[in-house]
Amino acid sequence: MSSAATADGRDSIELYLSRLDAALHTVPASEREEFVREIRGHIFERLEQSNDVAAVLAGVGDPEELAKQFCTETSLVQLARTGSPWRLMRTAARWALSGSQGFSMFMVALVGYGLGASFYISAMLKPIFPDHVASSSTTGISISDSTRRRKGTISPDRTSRSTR
Amino acid sequence: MYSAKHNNGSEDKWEVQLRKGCLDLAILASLSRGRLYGLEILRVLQQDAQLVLAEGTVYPILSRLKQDGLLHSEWVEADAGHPRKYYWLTDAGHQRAEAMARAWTDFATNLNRTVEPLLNGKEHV
Repeated sequence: MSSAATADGRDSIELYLSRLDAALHTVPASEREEFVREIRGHIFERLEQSNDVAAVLAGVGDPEELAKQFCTETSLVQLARTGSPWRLMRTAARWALSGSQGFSMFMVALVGYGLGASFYISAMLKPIFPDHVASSSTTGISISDSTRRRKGTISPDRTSRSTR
Repeated sequence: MYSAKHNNGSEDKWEVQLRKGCLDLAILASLSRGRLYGLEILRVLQQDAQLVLAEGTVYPILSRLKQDGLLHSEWVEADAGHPRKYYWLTDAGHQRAEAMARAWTDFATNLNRTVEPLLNGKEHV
């Protein structure tokens, strides 16, 4: 590090690195430490050519943004390797917070897996409760029938008759 | 790079996306010269490829390329100051870089043909 860098400068570097470290809390410790160490090396080598700590830190970019990029880049690789729905949802949720593309991906995954799970559960329950588990269209009709019947019991003419 | 995100011009957004899309290839290509650490890769990108970006951006990509098995890395103590993490291409990385370079060249050739009328002012018939 340049000898000209002030104590304030050193403080702002440590603050930057601790913000980066904190934003990487979901990343396993060994990977997180290695990444922070790499960024630390970059910052200090940059300071050999420039004494402007603020400009060097600005050049590296916002620490939270950088942490987000690291999480998005590296967890997508794990996703491709495992293909587990849980990991896909977690990655998509993190991604969803970073932009509209991620958000729509998350919603598609949520609706897709939700529908898949509900079909699976209905299929499993059908042999056990054949009368209670029906396809969504018939269930819809039975619900509306019962509500109509229930409405009928409190029809205005009948209540007026009973009060008379 | 981050300031460009807040720019209203769709041209700027498009250019940012274009640069981002080319980063993998540019990084792999810079490493085809041999072992480099992050800051050296950045210098190649900024000087040769004219890719202007937030400097931190290359490190998450390097981590991913390593996870993908395209890069090896090793920490080396520098004479003065902080250790440097050097990267170099694996065999798979070399193959991937060559395949991407071919795909890029084909793509650019075809697209250049498509946009040629715009550059020659022939679009106003």
